[in-house]
Amino acid sequence: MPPGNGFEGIVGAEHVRIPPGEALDDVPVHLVVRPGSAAEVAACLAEARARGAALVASGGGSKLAWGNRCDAPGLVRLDLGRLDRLVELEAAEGIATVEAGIDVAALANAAAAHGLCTLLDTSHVGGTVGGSLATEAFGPEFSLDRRTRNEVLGLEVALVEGTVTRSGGRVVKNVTGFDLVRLYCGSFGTLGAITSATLRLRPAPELCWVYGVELADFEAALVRARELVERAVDPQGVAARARGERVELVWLLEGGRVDVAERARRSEAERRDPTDWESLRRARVADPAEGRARVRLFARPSDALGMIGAVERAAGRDAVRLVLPTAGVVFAEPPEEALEPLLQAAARASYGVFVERVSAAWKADHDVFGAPPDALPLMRALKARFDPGRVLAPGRFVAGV
Amino acid sequence: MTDRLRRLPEVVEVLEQPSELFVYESDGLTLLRGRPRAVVFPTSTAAVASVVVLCREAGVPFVPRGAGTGLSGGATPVDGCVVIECSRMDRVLDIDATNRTATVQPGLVNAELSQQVAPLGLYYAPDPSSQSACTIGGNVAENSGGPHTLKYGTTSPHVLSLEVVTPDGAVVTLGRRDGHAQGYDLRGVFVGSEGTLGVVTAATVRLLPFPESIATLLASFAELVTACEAVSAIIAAGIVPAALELLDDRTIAALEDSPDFKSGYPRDARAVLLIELDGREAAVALERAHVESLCRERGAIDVRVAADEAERLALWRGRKGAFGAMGRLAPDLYVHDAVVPRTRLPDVVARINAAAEARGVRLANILHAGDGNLHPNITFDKRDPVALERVRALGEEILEICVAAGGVLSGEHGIGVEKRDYMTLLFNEEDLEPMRWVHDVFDPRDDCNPGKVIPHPRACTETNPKHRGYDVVRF
Repeated sequence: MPPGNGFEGIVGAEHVRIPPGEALDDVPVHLVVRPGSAAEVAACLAEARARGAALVASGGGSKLAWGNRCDAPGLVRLDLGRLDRLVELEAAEGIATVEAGIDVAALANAAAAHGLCTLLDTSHVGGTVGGSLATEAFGPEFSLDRRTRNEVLGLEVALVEGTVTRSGGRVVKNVTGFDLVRLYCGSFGTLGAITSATLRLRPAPELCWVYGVELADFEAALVRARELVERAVDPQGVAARARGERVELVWLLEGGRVDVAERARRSEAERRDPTDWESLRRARVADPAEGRARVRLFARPSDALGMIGAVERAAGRDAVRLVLPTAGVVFAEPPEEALEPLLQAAARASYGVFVERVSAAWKADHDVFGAPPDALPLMRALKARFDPGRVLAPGRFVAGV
Repeated sequence: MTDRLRRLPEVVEVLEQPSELFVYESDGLTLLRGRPRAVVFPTSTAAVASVVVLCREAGVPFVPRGAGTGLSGGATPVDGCVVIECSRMDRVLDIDATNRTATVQPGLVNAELSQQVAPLGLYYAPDPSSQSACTIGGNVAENSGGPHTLKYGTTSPHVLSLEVVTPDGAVVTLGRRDGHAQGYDLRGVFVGSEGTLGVVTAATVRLLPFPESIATLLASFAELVTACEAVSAIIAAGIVPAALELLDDRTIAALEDSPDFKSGYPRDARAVLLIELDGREAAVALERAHVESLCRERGAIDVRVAADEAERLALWRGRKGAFGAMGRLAPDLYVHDAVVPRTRLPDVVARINAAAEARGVRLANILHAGDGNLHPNITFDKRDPVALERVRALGEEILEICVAAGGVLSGEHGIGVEKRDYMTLLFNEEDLEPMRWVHDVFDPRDDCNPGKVIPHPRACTETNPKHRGYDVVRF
């Protein structure tokens, strides 16, 4: 796609560039366009639609490699980095409205200045709010109580028709109309481009204590994690990982002083240095070793041992990287050649999978989302209704949606 | 049509006599009524699917219904429709105590689920005021909330997956029973779609462990504004109560005048806050003391703390009986529902009260104050057409006041028919279009609970090929 096209007229020539050699998987990125407002984002989407171009929205790029290979000969990358404003932070209401390109860490810092915090994932260094919402990224603190989508009160989304639309609102309780906020969250930018979000902020915890134990194996770690649940320790995160021949189980206690002290007493374990938890967060996002993929398996918490077994059988014990026992999530890093048997085993057991990091060659003939969900025909129909020209990240989502 | 419905397997009853149909002409919003041609009682997913297919083939719209306790007309029949009444699908299909989930049929009464799992030390958190009658299917349709939504959220975050019959008769699972995401969150869109995208036939929901300790306080205030300031002070202190309810002086008077619901609330207070804290014992004790102190600092006349479970229930008796107490004031009660930013509550309540007085309408307020959710309750006699018009006009003005304050049209009752045509106060046509696209994907023929939630495009009513008169609201 040559420069001097309609994008320059929308965002200004200084915000359009040809990125030499850039590719997403092995699909070349012909243009990088940097809009400066929601209206410009919408105009860029309409321009891409008019030209029959495929477009991928990006933030900090920390999760840009996630998803299937786009089904297009080339891409326009819509870099939302200029939309990085904290629009409003209302401490008394516990809400913040931010543009999509703001760094999650910047939001967290702004909230902290008011004694508040965000539950959005900050594990992915450089990750933006828009990227977090689009991919529903999470770190070792993940649980069904702590989901990205539950923190979003309202969204502004640009659509390929060239419109900027609003869904949700700016209040903490709202059942006004269809809940499109949840539809857009986790949709990998395949329905529209999120341009801003109103997010819930929470009281910052008085204390953040980390506890941990070393145990013989993953099975023992899962038993201990279950005990934490039964004793109502209610950690804000629990994670297990191999340490040599043994397994360490580490958990995070956040909250009020008295409450954390009581939960610490019930933990019956040694208090760890807070950096132990940071080390887990880094482990969750670190690049896999050469030739290895990173895959996320998910199911019920009681299936965690089964998922670990599936990874070990397909790829060996050292492929199990991180287990979130109470969330029912296992992160594994198998050699690429072991991925297919692992995904087949997962499908047989009805475990969900998402291959986060893998080579473009593997993506060429595999689906990183594993077996398609029951509602795939409805999902395909939704994609066709929102994006009939398949402009937005075509093929990147579940089953090539 | 009714003969064919009767012959369907696992459809145990079909009502068609006018006297039988009368009670199905409305839900809890009795101002709006429609006459169905039949009411069917399926007992299985397959039976629901066969009813839907039959209706589709006959070109007859159908309306899913739970207990009919909804307050926005989400289950108001359209004339000539078939009502699919789910109350006979009321079984708990599975309880997974290890993973703290339950799979239930849609007609199970909300409170019965909690009763059934109580021996396991678990309960189902969403607690609409009608929880002793309303059903899980209805809660899913309306994304229902309740007093404890402040801490635990509305229905949506508690629903892991749904089995639904879509308007073309297909049985589809939305979401995963483990709650993890896979593809678009259609579960999240379906919850709160008010029966317009299909019929829920099973839901897998989360269960929570009983809190170890509960403290309940009743704080009374000489001014409503100071009660609202106490609410903000509690939230600003980083405390997240399980419930934070406000009743104004008019509600207190209705309660204390009622022989059935009299609860010993202070008649001299302009507002009371009912505050519930839950969690581990030491933390709850600390928060209770802190909340008591914050209330007194904000000018509370009195703070009563429940000493035991009996006293706790006595304090809740007033809150839970408040709607019933208003039944003495007039033949009809219109329970309004809107949300504003919490800090705007004093101003908004004052404006709503002034609007009611200016129109000569009697109104009392109950608020889920912690999350800014107002319930102005309007008592009237609908046989008086002048009074009815005043109520309608006041309802509209309340929404305008709330939206102007940065609020939304509903916090927990839904839009239904009641507020459908006010959606444009909050959303423009471009905002509404994606909702219409979602609807068209599920129900392109507009067979399923037509005329609810989303207004027709203003310019297209006359020319819309699907227009069958459902856009007329006879309020």
